[in-house]
Amino acid sequence: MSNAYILKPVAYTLLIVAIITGALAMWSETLKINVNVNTGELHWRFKPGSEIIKDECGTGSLDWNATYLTNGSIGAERIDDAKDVGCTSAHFYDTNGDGDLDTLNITIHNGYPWYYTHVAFAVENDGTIPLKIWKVVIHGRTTYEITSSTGMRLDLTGDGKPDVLIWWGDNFGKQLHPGDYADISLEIVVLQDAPENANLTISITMYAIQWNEYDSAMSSTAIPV
Amino acid sequence: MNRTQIFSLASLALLIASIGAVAAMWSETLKVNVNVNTGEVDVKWSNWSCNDVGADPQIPNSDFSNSEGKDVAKCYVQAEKYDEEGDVIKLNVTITNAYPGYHAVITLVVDNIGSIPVKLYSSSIGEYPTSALSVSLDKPESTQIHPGDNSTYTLTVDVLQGAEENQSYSFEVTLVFAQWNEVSGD
Repeated sequence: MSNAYILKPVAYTLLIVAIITGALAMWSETLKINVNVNTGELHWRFKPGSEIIKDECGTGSLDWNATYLTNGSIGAERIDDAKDVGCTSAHFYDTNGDGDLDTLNITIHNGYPWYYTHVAFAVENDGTIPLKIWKVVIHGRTTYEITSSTGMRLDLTGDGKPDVLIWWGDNFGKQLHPGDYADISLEIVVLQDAPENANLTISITMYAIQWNEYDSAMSSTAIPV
Repeated sequence: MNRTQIFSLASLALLIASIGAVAAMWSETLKVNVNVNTGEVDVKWSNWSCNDVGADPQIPNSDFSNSEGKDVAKCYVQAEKYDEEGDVIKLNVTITNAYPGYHAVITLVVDNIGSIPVKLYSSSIGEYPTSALSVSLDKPESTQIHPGDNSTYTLTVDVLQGAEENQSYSFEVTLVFAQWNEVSGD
């Protein structure tokens, strides 16, 4: 083994050590920044105790009839021969156990064609970020607006004929700051093609979006009814 | 006395004579006293601010909009650590109640308070979740700072859609300044 064979690695090692030492010895000063980003929360819920039911079960109130529907108008009246046949109940639930009411179950008991009910409730922003009421998905149909002239007719049985009609109080796009709340109401009419003795379920999901994304979300979305 | 002894004595006498001649030689001495006073590489954070002074800034050229001018999130910058001379060497940036679309630009001014020109030797941004945040450090075209001068850096923190609610994200930014003649480039 030649001397060069041994000395070369040693020389290289010494060179590297010298470079590192030189770098370490370089005069320098370090400045630092600690950055902490704490995010907020977008959260809303049904406001406890805010439900108002027009024909509440157990109150003995007379039924409302969607009299004006024949000419396409919203609203109802108590006809001359009004009776207490059907009724409506509505209750909030906390389904995910986080302490907030996230589900409203509305049940129409003993409903019949032209039976009309009206349920009002409030939603409140209990998060830390302003939100806007964005959209609602009713029985799988997403909408960003329901006009009073059309409402939404739903075929719940799959026979191709609408069974109920829903009108929605137009609070879409309403902004809620943390702690604010908004009243929302919906009206439900049982239509002629609804089956007898049936238990019909309508799933309604409401979505809120942080306020600074609403315009963009809306502009990129068609507005079906 | 043999020859060897005589030779040794003669050599010794010659040596003494030489030394004597040198000692007696006319001479003058000049001296140089050398004092090297080293300078100092020293920098500090001298000024800092955040662009969120009211309405929340939003990520530019994005789908986010705060046309209403809401003030939802807050951005604070304050001194966190001082060196033994009382100079600020570490800042703390705290952003609270942030949300996707929030765009914080922190302006940072570095002063060269030493006596040696410095250049930015290295900079690093610690680990952070890239799905939640976008972070960038904008440096000046030339990072050289002469004594008494300063240089401005901007740290941009964008909150992205992947950010989780009620989360805390932390990371550290480090800038190392070294004497100018040991840093290549600007």
